[in-house]
Amino acid sequence: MTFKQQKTVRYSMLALCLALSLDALATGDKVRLSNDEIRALGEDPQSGEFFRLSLDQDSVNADQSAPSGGAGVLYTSIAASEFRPRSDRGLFNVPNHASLICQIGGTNSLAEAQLQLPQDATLQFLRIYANDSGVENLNVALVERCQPNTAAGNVTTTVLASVLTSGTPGQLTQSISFPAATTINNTLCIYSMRVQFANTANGCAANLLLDKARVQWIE
Amino acid sequence: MKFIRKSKAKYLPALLLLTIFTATHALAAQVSIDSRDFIPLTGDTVYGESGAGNLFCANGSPSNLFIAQVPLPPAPIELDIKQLAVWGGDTSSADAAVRLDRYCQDEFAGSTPVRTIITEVGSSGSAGNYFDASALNFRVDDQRTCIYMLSMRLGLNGCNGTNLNVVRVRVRYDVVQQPIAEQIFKNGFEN
Repeated sequence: MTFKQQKTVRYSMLALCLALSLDALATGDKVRLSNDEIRALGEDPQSGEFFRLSLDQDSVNADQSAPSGGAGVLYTSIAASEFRPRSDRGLFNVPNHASLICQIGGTNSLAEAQLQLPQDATLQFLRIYANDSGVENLNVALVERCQPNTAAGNVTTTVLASVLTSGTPGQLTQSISFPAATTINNTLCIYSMRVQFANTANGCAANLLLDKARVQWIE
Repeated sequence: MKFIRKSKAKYLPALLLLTIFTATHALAAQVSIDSRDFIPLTGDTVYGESGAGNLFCANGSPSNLFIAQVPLPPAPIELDIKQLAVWGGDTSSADAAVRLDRYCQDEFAGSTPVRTIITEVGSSGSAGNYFDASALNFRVDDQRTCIYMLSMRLGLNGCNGTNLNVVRVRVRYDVVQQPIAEQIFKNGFEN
């Protein structure tokens, strides 16, 4: 092997290592969901790929200590009454204050509302306003669903962030940070806020109520 | 020195007008909410669509109440709501009403929403097609903690079928522009 050939091999191996490490970084932010986790979301594991972004638990309520407002920081709130039940419409009610509850007895605990944000907006925080006086907990997530740009294809679903209540605090507000550089891609994806009125996707639990969900973002 | 004073005096009326204009300048905008975008408050509400997309609730329906969020520009953009208007049809003995409400909560502490009724419009009589509007000047600078909702009631103690309906609701507002008079003053005349 000539010196030139050795040099080419060395550079090729270096490039390969670099590519592999970059790939690991790219997928390292995403955690593939197990079939059980997918079913817990009320989805069919065969209907596409499912991920969630890695969440830093230190990011809970981090928006309280973050600089307030500032140039380009925007807030979009969605009233809970805007969430559409996936099924069992008859069991979902708006009792007061544009809030949403779900009655025990159905087979669905999920309701969704589409979130419209500008292309390339950077997501910062998801904050919910709710009431948890029940044994089970409320789960609110921002979900991204993507497909190829100009071709038919399965949906790749990614839970970008989720807020899970705990205990029985009654009236509450709680937030979570989105991982850095989580941006909106309206070319490939749609974005929905999803609320789950139980620990599982099947049937609603008692004494859980959502008032609204707020997304903080940068244009 | 004397020249500067004279110069300033000459421009004073123009400056005054410019200041007034820039301080109050606003961009007029509006959103119309299709009645079919309203959500029934209870899941067992029986409702339908008549005519050209008019929302009605059926006779015997357990509830006659509907709700929709007003899709305003995001906070911290400030607005002045100028008008609430409603269109629909009313050939019934009861009336339709649409109310603009604000619900606010503490930003970082659990709290029960506090409702403020901003204004209300609706039908009256039974002459058929109706329009009603309410003029107001309500500053919206609190969307970090508040949401703005429309509550619709079709009838008094029950529904009146297709005889009482709503087609759409419109909210007119001005986007408040931050005053830039001081910058113009300094850059254009002082510096």
